[in-house]
Amino acid sequence: MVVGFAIVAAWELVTAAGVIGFRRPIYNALALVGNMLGLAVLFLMLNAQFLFAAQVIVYAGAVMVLFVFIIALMNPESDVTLGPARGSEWMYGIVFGLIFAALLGVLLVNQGLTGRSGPFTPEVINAVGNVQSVGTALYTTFLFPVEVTSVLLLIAAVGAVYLAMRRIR
Amino acid sequence: MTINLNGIGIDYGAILPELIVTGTAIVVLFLDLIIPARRRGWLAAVSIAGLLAALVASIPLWGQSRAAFGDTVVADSLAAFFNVLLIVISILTVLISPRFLRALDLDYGEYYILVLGATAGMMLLAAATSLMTIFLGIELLSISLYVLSGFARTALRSQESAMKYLLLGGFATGFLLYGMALIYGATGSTTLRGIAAFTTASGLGASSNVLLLLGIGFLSVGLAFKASAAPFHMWTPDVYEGAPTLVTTFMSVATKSAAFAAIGRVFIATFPSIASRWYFPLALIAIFSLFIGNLVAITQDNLKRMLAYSGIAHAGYILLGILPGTAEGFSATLFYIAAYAVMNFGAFAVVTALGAGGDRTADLSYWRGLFYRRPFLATVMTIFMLSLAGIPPTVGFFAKLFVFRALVDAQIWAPLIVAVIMTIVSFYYYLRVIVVMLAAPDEAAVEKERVGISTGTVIGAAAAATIILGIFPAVVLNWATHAASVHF
Repeated sequence: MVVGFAIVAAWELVTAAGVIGFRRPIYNALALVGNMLGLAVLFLMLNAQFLFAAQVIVYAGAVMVLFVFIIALMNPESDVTLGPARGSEWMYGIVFGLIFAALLGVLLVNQGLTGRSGPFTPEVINAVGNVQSVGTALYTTFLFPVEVTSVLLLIAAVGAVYLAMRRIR
Repeated sequence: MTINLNGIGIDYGAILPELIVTGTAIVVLFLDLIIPARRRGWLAAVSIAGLLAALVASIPLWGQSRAAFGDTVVADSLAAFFNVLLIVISILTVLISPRFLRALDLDYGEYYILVLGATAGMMLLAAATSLMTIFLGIELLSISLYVLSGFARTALRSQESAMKYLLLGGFATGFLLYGMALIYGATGSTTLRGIAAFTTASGLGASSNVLLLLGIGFLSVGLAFKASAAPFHMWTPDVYEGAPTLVTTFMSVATKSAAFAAIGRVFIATFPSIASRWYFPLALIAIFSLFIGNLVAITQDNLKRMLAYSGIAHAGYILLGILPGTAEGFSATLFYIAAYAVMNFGAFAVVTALGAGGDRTADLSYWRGLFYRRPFLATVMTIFMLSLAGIPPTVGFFAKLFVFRALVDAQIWAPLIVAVIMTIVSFYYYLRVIVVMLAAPDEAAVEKERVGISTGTVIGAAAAATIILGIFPAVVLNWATHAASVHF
């Protein structure tokens, strides 16, 4: 289990670096697809089969295919390549990133992590089923957040339509 | 397995103000399709009517303590305080909008929908008592504001500002969400009440719980970004400068208020038992904000940028009130937020009135001799500048006084000394605006333009409030004290 997690976690880190590292948008998008698939595998390893399926179908499938299509449509002939990053930005990023990583490392080595196990153990989940557990949580405990999300999507849609569709006079 | 909804406490009364504002946004969305383009002023009228209804609906929440929907939102005095503040800001924004939207050729119904959406998000944030609703409130207000900052679609500056805000905002949201995930992992709860219960119960264990502390750290980054406190302030000057001044007016005061509502709920209400752990980082953020905001503001020749840095500095003052973790400090914070909302809204509204596009008219050289060209605007701007500097008899003086008094009572000296010194530094750039307006005018830049009745009234009312609250601060202070007492 730990070995499996380590492999997937390493895959996640590499693909995440690819998302920001590649110079061609299409590669960034493909790296993101890889990242989302890895995340789906992590869900599977945590006994969350429903989230695994949703992640693959919705994110890695539908959303990312749209991303790739749009990039392909926008640049039919040649991919847009981003300009080279400025040296000083890289330097700041690396210096502060290392400081941050060192701080985290010291904390973890000294203190260790103490997470709290919740009520949803694999046995409990398997007794009622994955889909039902997620559905019940969404429509009871998190009913209000789910409803607010719908408002959020409405506002986002209005904003997107305004930015994309309004003709410039 | 049956789904039982009785246990989660469905209480539409508790979220009635938010419901009304959201409903108004949907009504405006439909009306926009029906109403001919020339009559879009009606959309503003409908928005104001809805906001007024929400204002009325907020008042019964005062003095209550109704946790609703599985402890994700609460209707209490603190929420009512922020509801009233945010709705009033929103009403004033809509009141001054139609004229400038027409002037900029941006008179689209989406503007009102997005302002209402942002207001609903901010109100939700102020009432949120769960990590989920805090996140959704922040996202709702952020997405509305991303689009609003890019609302001037033909202006490159506006587009740049929206893009910067979106990218950096998304980055900050990543921190926020990661922090929330870690806090959930450490405490096993998404509601602030559950998190507080875990933190208190585990006593000393909580203050050495790495997962929890890291989570709080990341959460602070996300919230400080929204409050534009240094060192998470980088986006503020560019976004404030590039966005249409009308939008800057709204977001500079409303976003900061809502963000500090959440900061109060998180630090004061949820983590008082580990105050010794968050005191130092928050004090550092406050001191950074005071330094960077005040010192960089001196060098700015563009009024929108100057006010952006001044906003960063004020985030520092507001944060100072959180530090003691006392009822006195928190009520000083609330009073400061209200005072800042009034005076900063006024200052930006004057910048808007002088030129909504704000490319050239926000430049300090344009303000030369304003007293002789636009005496009304120059006079009220003087009042707002004096208040932002904290000179009596304005509300800004008492705002600073209450915060400083709370720090003295809590024996917190280092941040206090920085704040006092930086206040004196800030006199320079606030008073410079007044001096420039008094200088002999250039003959070239003589333009006669009327302020307009609604804008004039709004700006005049803000100026009057700045002075009246500076003479009688007790009313608002009592409200703030009562609202703050919710969590003590």
